[in-house]
Formats: sequence, C-alpha cells, structure tokens
Amino acid sequence: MTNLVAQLELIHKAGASHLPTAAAAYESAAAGVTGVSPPASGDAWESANSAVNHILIESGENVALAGDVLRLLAFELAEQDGETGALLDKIGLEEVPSLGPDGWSDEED
Amino acid sequence: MADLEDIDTVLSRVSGDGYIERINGKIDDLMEKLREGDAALTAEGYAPGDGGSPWGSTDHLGETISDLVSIDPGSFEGPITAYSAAALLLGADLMHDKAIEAVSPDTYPSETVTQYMEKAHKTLAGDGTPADPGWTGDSATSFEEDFAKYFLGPGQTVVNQRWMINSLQTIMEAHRAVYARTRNDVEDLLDKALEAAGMADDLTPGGTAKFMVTVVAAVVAISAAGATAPAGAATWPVLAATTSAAASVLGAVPADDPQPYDLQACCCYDLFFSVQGAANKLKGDRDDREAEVTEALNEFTSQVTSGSTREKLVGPVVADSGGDSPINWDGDNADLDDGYADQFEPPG
Repeated sequence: MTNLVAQLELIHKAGASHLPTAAAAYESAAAGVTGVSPPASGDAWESANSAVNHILIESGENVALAGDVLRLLAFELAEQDGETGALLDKIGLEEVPSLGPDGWSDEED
Repeated sequence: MADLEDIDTVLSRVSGDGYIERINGKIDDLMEKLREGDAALTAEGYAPGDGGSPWGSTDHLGETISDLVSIDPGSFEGPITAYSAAALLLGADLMHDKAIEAVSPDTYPSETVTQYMEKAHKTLAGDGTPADPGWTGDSATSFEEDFAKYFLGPGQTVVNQRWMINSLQTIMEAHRAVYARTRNDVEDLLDKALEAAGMADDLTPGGTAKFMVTVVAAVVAISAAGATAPAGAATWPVLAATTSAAASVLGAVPADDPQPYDLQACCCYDLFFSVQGAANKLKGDRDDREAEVTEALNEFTSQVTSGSTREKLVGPVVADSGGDSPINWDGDNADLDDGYADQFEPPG
C-alpha cells in the first residue's frame, strides 16, 4: 500500500518547489534574452527580444500557476482523507497556507 | 556557394583591435602611395562649392574605408552567447543544433526547465512500480497529457521555444557575418590596391586588380537555422518545421555568390577612384545585407507574435475538464475546484 501522505508530500513539493523553480528558469531565460544588446540595428532586435521575452514570461507564469494547482491539490486531497495534520507535519508547516493575489501566505516577506 | 571562406576563419582574422591596427596601417600606406603616384591626389583634395565630398582627397577615402569597418564583429559574441545560454536553460537537450548550443559550454545550467518539470511530473505519474504507481483519474491524466507533457523532453512547447531562441541566435550570427565579411572584403580590397599601387609608375597600362566582394554572401548562415526537426515532432500537435518561425526565415534571406570586382589599376589616379568606387559598392552591399537581416528579424517577430504560433510557443495552461482554470478565486483567496480534486484517484 502506497503511503498516501508521502505521495501528497511529493505533490506538494512539486507545487511548492519544482514548478516554481522551473518558472524561475523561464524568468531567467526571458531576462537573458531581453538583456541582449546588439551592436547594430538595435530597434529590430529590441522588438524581437521583447516578443520572445513576453512569450517566455507567459510560459513561466503558466508553469507557476501549475505549481499553485498542485500545492492546492495536495492540501485538498489531504483534507478529503483526513490527513491534513499529517501532511502539515510532513512538510513542516503549522497551518494550511493560503494563496492570495500576492502569492502564498507562507512565502510572503 | 563558391569560394566562400569559412566564417569562423574569417572571424578569427577580422575581430578585435588587432584588425583595426592592421587596417589603419594599410589605409595609411595606400593613401601615401596614391599621393606619391599622382600629384592630383592630396590629403585634403578639392572641396566642391556645394559642400559635397572633397574630390581627390585621400583623407576622405581613408575615412570612408574606416567607417566600413567601425563595428567589430567580435562585439556580437556577448549577444550570441546570451541567446545560447537562454536556450540552454529551457532544456529539451538533443533536440537542437549542437553547433549552436556549443557557443556557451560554460553556461550550461545545472538543471533546466525540462528537468524541473520532469521532477514535478514524476510525482503524479509515478515510475510505474508497485511502490510508486502514480496518480490516475481524469484530472491526473489531463495534467499530464494536456500540460506537463508539453514541457518535458521532447515536449513540443520547449522544443518550439528552443527553435525560437535559436532562430534569434542564428540571425544574430548572420548579422555578425555581415560585418565580418565586410571587414574581410575591405582588407582584401586594401591588399589588392596596395599591390597595384606598389608598382607606382610601372602600373600596367589598362591593367586591373581583382578582389572579391563576399559580404553579399554573409547571411548564408541563416539557411542552417532550425532546419533540423526534432525526432518525434510530428507526433505533437504543435509547430511543425515547415511552419516554424525559423523555417520561415530560411527563404527570406537568400545569399548571393561572392562577386569579383575589378580595380582599374593602370595608374594611381584611376586606382584612387576605383578604390573609392569599390568602397562605395561595399557599403551599399553591406547595407543591403543588413537590411535583409533586419527584414528577417522583423519577419521572425511577426511570426512569433501571431496568434496561433504564439500559442504554440507559450504552451498550454493547466485546466479542468471544461478547459477552465481549476483555481477559483473568492475575493483575495484562491481555492481549488472541488471537481478537479475529486477526479484524482490516489495510488493504490
């Protein structure tokens, strides 16, 4: 029998760590592209870099959103099975964090 | 493409301050020989009344030639490496032109988007063993099939994004080639002119000295952009090689064969004006090539910002079975759609 709480911890980790890190990699790639400053024909390059930057930023936002979904999912599934306390113990939190417009309550400054 | 020297060889010869020092020496030598060869040619020349370019001025000709080589192709290295590094961050290794990626081996990231996505995906999909059979159900399947799969190697979203950035990198390399070939052509012009001028009064009557204009072939590198379709690409319902931005660029900038240019070398007087004409031709050809690179760049931008292509470059977003976001917002608090969670079936 697979340990349900262990599986939920993995889902939470994917949502709280792996996917946000992938989203951050997109941000880095986007910043790298938009920071390119060629020696000539600057305007055309700026337009192209800006277009690519926005695409990569949007991809990163979509990946970050997927992270939010998985994190919410882990807590939702834990609640359905009465394992919220066990999951919180496993991931080292005292209470279920909330997701607001500025991000997760346990990640705010 | 006939008689076109490898661009890497050209780049190594014409990049950096060493080239400028060498070329300035050759310009000075040539102008001095031209003045020595014909008294009608002077440093200042003769200023026309209309304020136009001075006639017979070796200083002006020297400045014209210097302007042609003012941009160092070596200064494109930073931008090219930046594109390479950005592409590498995305992952999907083995999907792309290794020659392009090899530009920045020192910037290889320890982990990439595809590797992080693989870790996330594996938590849901499991590894298929009894100990880790993975989650099933409609929502789990949708998460994998309609979202995560596109970002895993060879997930087509990442492959498309790599094409996108590699296309930029390749256009930048072509742009660099325009300035490298121009510098090379200028040095060839100066060498041939110096050789002819060195004969002074013994210049062959009616003689010519041939040099090659290769800048017209400078954008040939674009033909190699993104031409390699990744294995398995056809199985993914997104950009195909024939419709990708990179592929569309392929036909936009055809390269010409190098063109011979005959310098009139019968005397220093004619040689001066022949070199002047050659410099003007080089400037025109270089500007034409650069305009074509800019056109390719604008076409690229148009392609990647068009609706359907842009969607395939951005990739999918997590959605529920109805295609909507599984996250519900109640004021400032987000919650997961109950139906979405209910459609996950836990590992047995």
